Amino acid sequence: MNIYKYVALISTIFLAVVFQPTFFARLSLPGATPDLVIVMVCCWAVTKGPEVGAIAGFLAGFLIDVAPPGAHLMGVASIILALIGYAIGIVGGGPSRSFTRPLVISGVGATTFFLFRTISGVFVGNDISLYNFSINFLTQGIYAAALAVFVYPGITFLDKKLGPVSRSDELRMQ
Amino acid sequence: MRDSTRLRTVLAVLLLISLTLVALELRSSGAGFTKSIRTISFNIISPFQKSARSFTDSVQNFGSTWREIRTAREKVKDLETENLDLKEKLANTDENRRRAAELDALLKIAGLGTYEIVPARVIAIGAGQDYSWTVSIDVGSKDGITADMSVISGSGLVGRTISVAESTTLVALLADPSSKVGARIGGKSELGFISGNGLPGELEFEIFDPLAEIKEGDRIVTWGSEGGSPFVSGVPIGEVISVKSAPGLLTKTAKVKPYVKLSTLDLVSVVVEAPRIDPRDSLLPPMPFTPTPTPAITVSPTPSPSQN
Repeated sequence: MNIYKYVALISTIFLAVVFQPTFFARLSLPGATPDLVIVMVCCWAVTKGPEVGAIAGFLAGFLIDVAPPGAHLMGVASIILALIGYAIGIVGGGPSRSFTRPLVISGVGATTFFLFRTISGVFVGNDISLYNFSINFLTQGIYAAALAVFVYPGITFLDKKLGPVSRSDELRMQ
Repeated sequence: MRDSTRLRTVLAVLLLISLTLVALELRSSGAGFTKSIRTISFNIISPFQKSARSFTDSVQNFGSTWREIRTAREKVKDLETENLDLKEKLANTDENRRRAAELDALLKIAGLGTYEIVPARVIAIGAGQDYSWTVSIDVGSKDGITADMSVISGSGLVGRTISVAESTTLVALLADPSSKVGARIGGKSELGFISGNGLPGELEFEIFDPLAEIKEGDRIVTWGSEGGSPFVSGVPIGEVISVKSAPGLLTKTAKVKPYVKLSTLDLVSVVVEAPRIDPRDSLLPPMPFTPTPTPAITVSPTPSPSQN
């Protein structure tokens, strides 16, 4: 990871946080709202491994918590997302030519995050029916995989474009 | 080996920072350090969200135009270009007309209730992902908005402002689980509380008097807080869709469908000054059924003999 890649990481996640409530929340698709932010984190983690995954997750969680219209407890989303990014980096990171893997991983990551948010939602006094939950859970996974179709190539492209893979990067992937 | 130590250190540092944030927020309960982080981020991120919002608008306009191009292709080739041009204009006027109608409704409700309002557009919607229902709107402290003001739309109560930055304001909607509004049944004086449970089309109404009469179709208005903050009085909230009561309970509860469609908000307004006189039920929409017509009494200045 050179400095350009960190700039790319920060700006892609910032863009995702900006477009999440202004674009995707407006689409009013059936079921859940597509979660571009978590897909971004998953794709970075798959491309660059657990360390970058954790950093991306932390950053995304922090921005989700502080950006309007977020009003939840600050710091919770960054804990959850940093752990998800880290876990995805460990399980799914590393060089691979498979294209379906990032899609599946994004779906799994998004549903995991959704699960955590639902649990915290129940804690603050939400009335969530099982039917609603299962619909949102399923659509969340499907939308995330669909978004990853576009996001993953973009991030691998950025990664290739912004400098050669250094020796330490290769090592870190192991 | 060196790498995995480094990896663990990075993760530990990140988690530590997050936990510190949580601890700070819990300790100061939304004030102090975390509050200033929020204010700064609001001021930085809102301009980006505003431009993203207008980008979204143009994408949606483009989408509708594109759909129209496809239908036009089936028509005669010569008319194609002309059609396209006209329909593009039409798509835009439709949007404008809708917005004008919304503004009209807003003005009407504000005029009837003699509220002083500041109109605003919704720029970002909390995705409902974590079942918290908040939106941000494009007016802020420079427009005279403060926390705990009522937010209304053309058809009724939307929510209240919870935090204000220079040019954006965060609004907690009625459906948010933290939302609790003092309300009464229109036409009666039975009091209760409307609270959200994370679902946009369904609110909970808790009536204090277990013997109070309430039935489906009853309409609920705000009863108003002291000094009109956070809620001004007499704003329509919604209609009762089902009543739930059990013997032995201290209160009666009912499900209420809000008049405002909370999941698709666009134009709203913030009530900056409460009315001097409580509008009571005058803002409720007309009853769906028409009452039996009463014979009209015509008074003519010169009665003719045939009318006696």
